[in-house]
Amino acid sequence: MKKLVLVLLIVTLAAALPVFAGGGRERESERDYDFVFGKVPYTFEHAYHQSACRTLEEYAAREYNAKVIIIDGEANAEVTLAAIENLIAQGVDAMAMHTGDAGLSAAAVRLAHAANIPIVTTLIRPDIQTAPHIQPMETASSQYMGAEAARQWKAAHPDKPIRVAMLNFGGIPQIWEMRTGAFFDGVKSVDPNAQLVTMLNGYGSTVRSMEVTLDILQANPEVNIIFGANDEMALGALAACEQLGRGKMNDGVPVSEIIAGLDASSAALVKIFDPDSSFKLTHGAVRDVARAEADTMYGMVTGAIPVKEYFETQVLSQPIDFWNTSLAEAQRFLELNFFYTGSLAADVDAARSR
Amino acid sequence: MLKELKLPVLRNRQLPVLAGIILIMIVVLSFMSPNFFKIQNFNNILLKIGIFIIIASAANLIMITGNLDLSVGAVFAFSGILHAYMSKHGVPIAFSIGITCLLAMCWGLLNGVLVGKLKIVPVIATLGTLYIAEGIAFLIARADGGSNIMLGLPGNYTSFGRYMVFGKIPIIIVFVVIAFFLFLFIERKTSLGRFSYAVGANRSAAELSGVNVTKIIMILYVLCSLMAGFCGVLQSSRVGLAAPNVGRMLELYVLIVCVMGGTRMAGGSGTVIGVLLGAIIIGLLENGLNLLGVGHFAQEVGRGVVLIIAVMVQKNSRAVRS
Amino acid sequence: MEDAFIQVRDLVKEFPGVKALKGVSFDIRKGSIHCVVGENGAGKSTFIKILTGAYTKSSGMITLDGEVFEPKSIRDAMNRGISVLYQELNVVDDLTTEENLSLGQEKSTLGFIRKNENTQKVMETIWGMDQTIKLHMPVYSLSVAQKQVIEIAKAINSECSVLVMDEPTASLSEDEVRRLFINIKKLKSKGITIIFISHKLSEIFEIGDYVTVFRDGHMVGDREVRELRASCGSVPESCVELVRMMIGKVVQEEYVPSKVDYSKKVLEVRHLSNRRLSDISFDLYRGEILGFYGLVGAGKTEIGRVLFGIDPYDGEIWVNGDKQTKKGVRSALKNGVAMIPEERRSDGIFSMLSIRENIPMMNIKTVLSKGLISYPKERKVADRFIQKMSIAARDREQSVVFLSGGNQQKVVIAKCLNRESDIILMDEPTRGVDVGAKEEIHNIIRSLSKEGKSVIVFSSELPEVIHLCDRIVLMHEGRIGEIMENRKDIDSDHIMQVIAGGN
Repeated sequence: MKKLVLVLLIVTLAAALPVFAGGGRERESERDYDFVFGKVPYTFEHAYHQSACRTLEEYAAREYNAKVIIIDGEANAEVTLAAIENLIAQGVDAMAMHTGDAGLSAAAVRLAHAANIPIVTTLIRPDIQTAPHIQPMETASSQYMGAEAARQWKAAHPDKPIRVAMLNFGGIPQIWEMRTGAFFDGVKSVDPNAQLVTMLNGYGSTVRSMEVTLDILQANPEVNIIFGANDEMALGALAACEQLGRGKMNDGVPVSEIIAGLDASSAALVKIFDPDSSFKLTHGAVRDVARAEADTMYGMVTGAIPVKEYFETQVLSQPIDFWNTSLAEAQRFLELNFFYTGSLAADVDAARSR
Repeated sequence: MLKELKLPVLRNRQLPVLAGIILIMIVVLSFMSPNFFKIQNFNNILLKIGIFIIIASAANLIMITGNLDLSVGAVFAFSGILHAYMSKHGVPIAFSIGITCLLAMCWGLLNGVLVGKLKIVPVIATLGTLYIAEGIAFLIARADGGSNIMLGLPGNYTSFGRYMVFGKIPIIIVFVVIAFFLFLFIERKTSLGRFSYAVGANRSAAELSGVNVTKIIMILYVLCSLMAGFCGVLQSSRVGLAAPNVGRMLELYVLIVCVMGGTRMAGGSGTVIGVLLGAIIIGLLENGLNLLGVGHFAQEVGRGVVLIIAVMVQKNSRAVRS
Repeated sequence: MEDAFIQVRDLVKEFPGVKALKGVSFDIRKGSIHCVVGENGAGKSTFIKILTGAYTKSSGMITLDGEVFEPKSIRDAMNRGISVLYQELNVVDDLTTEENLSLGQEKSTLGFIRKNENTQKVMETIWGMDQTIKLHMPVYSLSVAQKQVIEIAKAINSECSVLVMDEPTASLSEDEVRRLFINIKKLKSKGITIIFISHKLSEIFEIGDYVTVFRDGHMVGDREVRELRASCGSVPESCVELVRMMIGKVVQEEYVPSKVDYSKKVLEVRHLSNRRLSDISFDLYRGEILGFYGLVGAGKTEIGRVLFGIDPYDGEIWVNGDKQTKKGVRSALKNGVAMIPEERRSDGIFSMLSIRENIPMMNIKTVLSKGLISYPKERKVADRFIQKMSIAARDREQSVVFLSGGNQQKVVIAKCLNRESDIILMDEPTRGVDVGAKEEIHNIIRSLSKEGKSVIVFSSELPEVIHLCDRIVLMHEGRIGEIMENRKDIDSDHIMQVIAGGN
């Protein structure tokens, strides 16, 4: 019996390994690279980070003949720091990190600098500003989204006051500045009387956000704009609305609420371009952020960019919404940012038939 | 038969304590939030804890034998992903549900063989299964080309999970009721249930009484994985997406629900009625904190405090008994 | 006695409901090897536990080297120079010899463990006893005898003046026993007092200076070994004398013969051997009550475990004419063999469950109707046994844990009887049971034989065996000494000779 189980386990392992290897792209094994870059994404569980890493790998190889070693941060401070240490130990030429914690970013920068390895941070600014930083311009796009959502609601329901609910990640202050707060600023720029009713933790997860939104709508049925600080959470909010008989639009005209998300992944865009769904806005930047990371790392390695000075590269986070973005533009965005190979129009049609 | 099912409840002094805690919570929340005492809200609470109740009912029997299943969360996630993957690639929904449930049972069989036959410590054995199942869930998601499976699911994917029985009762709630009575029945009326208590109360005496301990443990693990797998399908179908990380911490919730319900971790005592009440306490707590708009970290503090208080109050009631 | 090192005076230990020691007085001389013998429950282990600080006495006095000795804890007793070599050796298998020696006395400087200078000393002591043990050897690779050496060396180096050895020879080979004895004599020559506990009586005459016999909480004999041997003439004769003291006067109780059907052999055992047994052969007939009697460690329980499919064996067992091929408890049950285990608490009862739930556990079919548990049936079965065996309980829903020992034992028996097996093995059926319950259990056994069932009783109480059994198998150190017919005027003296290993 023991042997049988052992054999089965080994077979499982043997079967899983090729799948794992095949899950990545075919490796160009015997290639001579000029540089080795390291990258620590926030978590591989989000579509955004998977695409960003893939873009980084391809772009760095093509433009700079550089190999990229990727170690998942697993949305966990210790794991992220261990990943940084791992990259340092491997002696990479430069590294990029994307994490949710300013203090953790600072610690990583100190570690890397102590080992004389250039590092670039993304999105969340470290507590100490001594290294280059890539900043997607999320604030402006979030404000735009808030304003557009408020305009659309006012146009459809001038009599119903705007009540906003939000789903955020627990405990990342900069998210307020770039996403939730900026979004609400945008709403207020259109309707100064708009109120933020509640903001709860959706854990970045669709399932948890669905459950939390059910509670939010129970306590505050008057909510008519919901913002999820990433697409996963916005999709959870949509699922909750649908289960309460809401979540609908009348060919792009708001009925019960407007939902906005962030990242602009394909799963979100399929909903956004469905005229009957209430999820209507998002913004995101994958390709340009990844390219900026590669460019900055190359710049630091070759001396064009100072390693130990703050230097912010700003990247547009492109807003995409049902009313102002064409289907063709959205299709193009997905192809460029998310390695999308399908047809958005077809996917939308398929989803609508539900 | 109903009379027979009721009898042992009256002997149990922990259940009234749990019911009391629930009553107090309901009264307090009704005063604090005007939107609390509404049918729709109770519906929401049941929807939220439905999954816990179904899985914990089965995991509870395992705990009654003095063992543990930490792999439920991973099996849950694995099943959701597998169901989504198959549905997306042309397998009819009903078939896909069937195949997924069968494969979920295989995880239980693995647990059962490891724990029951090879006598590996349940914590380690099921932790191993957890990692394998979760890893494979991630691999399937990756093979599909993303972090989770949502795009390209067939139009009728959500019709199972969002089905309303008689047009108004969500299907999850129906399954919760079925699972509750099924396990109450197993517990009280079958030799499987009786032997589970025997194994937990005194494993050596059970063996010397001719109880096939290995078989009992294996059946229970298979049953538990089946419930976890079925819930994975249900949840994925309800949300309309499958993600490999949805099961994280689920095993802990299941554990908490069982312990809150008065099941001894060393085995020998416990009942599915306790599981139901324990789950309701958890559900009321989370729902109440959300309705009151309590912030994330304050919620965590509240959750911890209520958990400890509930277990302490129960422990006292047990001490009084003996 | 002037040179008494340890004086015990009127020592009493009471547990709730039981008096384990009923006023014991004797002396132990400095530098002697003092043996303590007695059957289970005689009080010797209670005495040892008081001496080593595990229990506190109820009344009486112990003096050690002239001073009053009242240890509060095991550590306290150790500080006064009393060390114990337990049967379960106290070494950590995963560590090396060296690490085991320094365990609990690590000295550290700035958090680093310093090599203990003491270790070197202990090692020298060890090498004095066994040169094959090395510092770096992991302890799991050592034999039981070698582990004992380590423990003894540790005890000596903690400057003990008294070393208590609890059945040190129980799991040693003959060769290893020889070496142990040499080492014990070395310790004696160093002036260490040894308290030696063993169930193998012949060993006492090889090594002991004095022997104290316990029975029923009393000290019933305190003799010099040399003198005892001289008065009896030979070692086997002296062993018999010791057994007489241990067992005492056997109160002959009325033996009523059962109606044994000697034409129907229900169990045939041939040449059964395993680690603890050698060449056991006997028969059991329909309606017979067969008794197994011997001192502790003679192998009674082991026979029961083999017959019930728990332990492996060589040899043949035939049940109702069929040779047993499958092993395991379940196949034994299937073939009509059931057992009441010796350890009621750990192997018999489901203490958290009610009487109603306990009784049908061996034969759930008796309470099923259409495959499901039927509460009316279950109640009926429970009530039947509660009445038949007069189990004193509040009601059938009472948890077994709240019952007295005798009533718990009755529940265990009821559980077994509900199985309706033809052959019932009962290992110490009345241990820890009060007199009234004992008689009731005996009556149950008799009524079983009347119903045509065959019962094997394994007991370490001679009166019980003489009272109940039609034939008695006398055991000595894993072998059958003699199988004798029970008679009204049975010769208990002869029985003692056989179980003591004499002829």
